[in-house]
Amino acid sequence: MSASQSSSFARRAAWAFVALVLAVAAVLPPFYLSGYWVRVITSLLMYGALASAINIMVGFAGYPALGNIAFFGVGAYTVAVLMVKYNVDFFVALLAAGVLAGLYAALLGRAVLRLRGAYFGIATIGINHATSEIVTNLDSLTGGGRGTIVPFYPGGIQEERMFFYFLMLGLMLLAVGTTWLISRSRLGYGLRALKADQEGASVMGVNTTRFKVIAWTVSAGLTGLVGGAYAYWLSFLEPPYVFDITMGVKTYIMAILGGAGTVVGPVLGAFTLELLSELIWGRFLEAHMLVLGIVVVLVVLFIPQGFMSLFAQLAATLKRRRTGEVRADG
Amino acid sequence: MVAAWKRIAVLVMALALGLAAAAPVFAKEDVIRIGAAVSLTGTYAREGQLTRDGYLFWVEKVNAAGGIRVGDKRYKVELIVYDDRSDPQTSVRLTTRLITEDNVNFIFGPYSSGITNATSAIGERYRVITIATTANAPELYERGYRYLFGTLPLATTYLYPVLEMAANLPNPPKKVAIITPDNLFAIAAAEGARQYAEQLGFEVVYFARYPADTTDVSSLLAAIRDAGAEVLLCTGFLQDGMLVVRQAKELRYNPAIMGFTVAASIPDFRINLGKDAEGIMGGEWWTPQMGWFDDFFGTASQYAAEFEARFGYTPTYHAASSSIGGYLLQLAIERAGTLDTEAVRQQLLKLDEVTMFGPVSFNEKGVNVASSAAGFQIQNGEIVVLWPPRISQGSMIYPKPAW
Repeated sequence: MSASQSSSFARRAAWAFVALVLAVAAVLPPFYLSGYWVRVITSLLMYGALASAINIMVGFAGYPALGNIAFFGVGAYTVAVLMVKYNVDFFVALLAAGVLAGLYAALLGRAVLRLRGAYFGIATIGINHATSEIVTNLDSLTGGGRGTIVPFYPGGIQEERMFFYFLMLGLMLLAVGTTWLISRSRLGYGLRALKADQEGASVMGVNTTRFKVIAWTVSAGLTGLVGGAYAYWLSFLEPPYVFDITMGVKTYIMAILGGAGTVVGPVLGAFTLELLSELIWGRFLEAHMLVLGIVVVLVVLFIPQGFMSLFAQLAATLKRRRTGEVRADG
Repeated sequence: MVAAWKRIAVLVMALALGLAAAAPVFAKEDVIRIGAAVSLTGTYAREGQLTRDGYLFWVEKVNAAGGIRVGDKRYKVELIVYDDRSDPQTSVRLTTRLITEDNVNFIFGPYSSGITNATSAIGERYRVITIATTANAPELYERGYRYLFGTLPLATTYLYPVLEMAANLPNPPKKVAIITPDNLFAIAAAEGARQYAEQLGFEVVYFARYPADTTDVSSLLAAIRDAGAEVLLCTGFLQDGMLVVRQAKELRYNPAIMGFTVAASIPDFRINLGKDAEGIMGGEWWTPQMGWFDDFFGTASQYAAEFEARFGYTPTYHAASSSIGGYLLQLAIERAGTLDTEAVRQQLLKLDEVTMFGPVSFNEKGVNVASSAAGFQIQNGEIVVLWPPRISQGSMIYPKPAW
């Protein structure tokens, strides 16, 4: 009894230590690294947040929301228009970006979430394209194809670096935290159930439509927030930059690579893919896409369930070995 | 269990490959380091490569001549080129890398006004001069930036020469129609043409903007024909240009003057349209046929010949403008006698040169105001420069031969 208590205390202490190390590692970069590396890590955090957001649809509900990047664009343009045309404070505009993107998904969801599998994926790509056209044609508001210039962050270079670093870090933690809450809630169980078998889940009393719409709204809201932050960070927007389907596909791959349906997997996937692509390109200027492609294919071939499955497998192996030893002793 | 370790080994190997790729670049002494993040892959790959080759041509030529004289020392030029994948976010990140990691002294701009809009904000914040050679949307230069200089005249002036030629005819046409795809650069050119046309006394009877990826403009052309426009100007790209010509022919609409921006000077336009391209006019920032000259590159046609010998293709304005960007920076550094940003900036502002690219001088906003586009007409399948009169090679066919 007391032995198991002390072991659980030791485990908790170990987790607390890991958490502390991670927290310190997360706070330090902008104080010590050059502008370039801070920017690289800030974009890692951004992709971590985006991959987490798309994971709620892809990993939990099993809906391939390839065009989720549409909400990124909606968020980005919400911030741009509110700041440029109406002089709204950035944080208020950011909040509006999240809310508007979420509402947009909630409205579309009732219709589009009737589709399943690849058909849903195709519909979201269509939504992305259509939204991009709408934004382009509202040119008195959005600047249309000419793009729009968002005001600079009103501080020095160092402060600006800090601001966007911690903003993206905060958004990523928000996305991961939301995923964690979902994974432990009735919503999470319901989503997993409908991913496995929609009719079955429905028979078992899961309100599938409601669950799917909620999941998409949350996913879109988070994506919209990140888009809003991105608009302020980049300071210049054109519709193709933020309604970029390749960016959408990239976040999708990140989520799958890290482990769809897990809490931190998508973040790992995002960090790995972005960091690799950044590092590879430094040396293979002409062939970086080729090298990166090979790396991705290798990873997918050898670790089809994503990075998180590796850790789970390892943990299981270790546990088995330990319990095996105990049994041998006994 | 074994499988798990094997998989981890693969993962570690993949990461090691990436890390090995990231070995640091060592700095050399006594060089002027210039950085360029241009599009070598993606949407703008072709234009980006033209831009890069233009930079490279200047760098090789100036190094072959012993480098740039700064005070009583000579500095070689080192060019660091990255691929921005036609993505503004990547371009911004690479520009930051060039400044904070590679410690470049100056920045050569990326391709396109849109991406330059994003990257020049970084140069401005870090106080590093950006020489933008393929970005001329007027919005770029209205932000009050101190460290951005553009070698191309503004996009708004693109069709000025066509309008000037029309206005100087003994019996000038009166009614003008202008159409443009919805794109930063094209709209600027169209708005510029509209204002200038009205200033020259034309009546603009039709002005329309259409979606950038359209495949049918026949309804626009029918409306233009019904409005009785004698001059049709279009600011789209190659595809737009060919579409307008084909559909105008189908509709039997025969304007006396048809003028294009980028489309008409691209060889594919003449090759694909054949006889239908005869008499079509255009504005062009630079062609090897223009009679400009400077001491460093020689004449425009000498530049083109040397460039072709080095890279295997005839340079376009992208390449020429980029080479000239390097040359102007060289002049400013030599006159300043230092690499100090403020001193070089002052010298750039004082420049008043005639180059193989045409005349150059910058206003306070960093815009090249000395030059404007040249006007040409396609005659017997060749580009014949007609305007300004100082470099004219022939006389204008008016009206354009009917379809």
